[in-house]
Amino acid sequence: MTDIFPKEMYLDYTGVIDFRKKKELVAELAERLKAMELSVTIRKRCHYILEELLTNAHEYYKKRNLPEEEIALVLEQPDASKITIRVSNTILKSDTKDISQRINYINGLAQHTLEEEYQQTLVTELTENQGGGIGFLSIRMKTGLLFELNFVEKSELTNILTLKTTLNLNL
Amino acid sequence: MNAITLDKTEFTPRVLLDHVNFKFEIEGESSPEDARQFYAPLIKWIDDFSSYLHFLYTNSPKANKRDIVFTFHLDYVTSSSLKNIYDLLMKIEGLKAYTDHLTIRWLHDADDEDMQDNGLEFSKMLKLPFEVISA
Repeated sequence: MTDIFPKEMYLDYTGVIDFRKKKELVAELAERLKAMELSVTIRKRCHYILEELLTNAHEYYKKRNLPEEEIALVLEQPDASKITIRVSNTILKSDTKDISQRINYINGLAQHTLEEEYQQTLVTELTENQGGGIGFLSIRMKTGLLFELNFVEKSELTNILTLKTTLNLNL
Repeated sequence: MNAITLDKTEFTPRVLLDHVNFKFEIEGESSPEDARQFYAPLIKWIDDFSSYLHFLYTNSPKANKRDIVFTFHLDYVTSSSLKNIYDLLMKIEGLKAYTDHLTIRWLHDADDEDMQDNGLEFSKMLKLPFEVISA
């Protein structure tokens, strides 16, 4: 594969996230992907993963009623065969263990159990949760790769969570 | 009851739920800010449609049961929309009592594997004739 993602593919943003901003970022990504020779499936997967990660951060802020609705996003192409998307947001320290366990649990699922878990979550998850669990499970199913997560202390009460996911472009 | 007719918007699909002409279609992108708020009236409509059919066939036992075909042709769906579409499909499943032929037609663009997969996952989970069709 040629270097289908030129340098300008690099996308980063730091600032407040809300529905409008999320859609702007997804639209910006879509615009950059237009010039690339990607299948429809890969193109939509890029949109989907970015949108779900941003939604997760946005929903977390709403759920916890945190005043700082800031995120940091970096989307880059480490080599011609893949892109990585990193989204960082503030979380309460008290949620760190639960988030870590949940992501590690999803990472630990084999492909066939992922599908079972996805179906089960679709059935049982409350609509009020806005599909956060389904989002992570479906990203794992689509990418076939693991989430990487990192926590950095921000203040006495908060950490910065960084979630990174990789999408293989050669599917 | 009234039919639901919604035009397609940037983030929401076109919806036609028409109990008079038996046309049931959802088509376009589904990535609204609040998927629950968007789908709740559609789910409620299926409840009302179920009551309508119950009333119709109870009061006119000889009335011919009509075939019901729901057509979904979605090109992009967020996870929160997927959850709500599943809830909608579960409601639709309840209409089986009022028809001999209830079918879900899940159309996807020919080169859209993920939308095809979404249809196939739903077809495994629901006890409904489910046609996943490349359009």
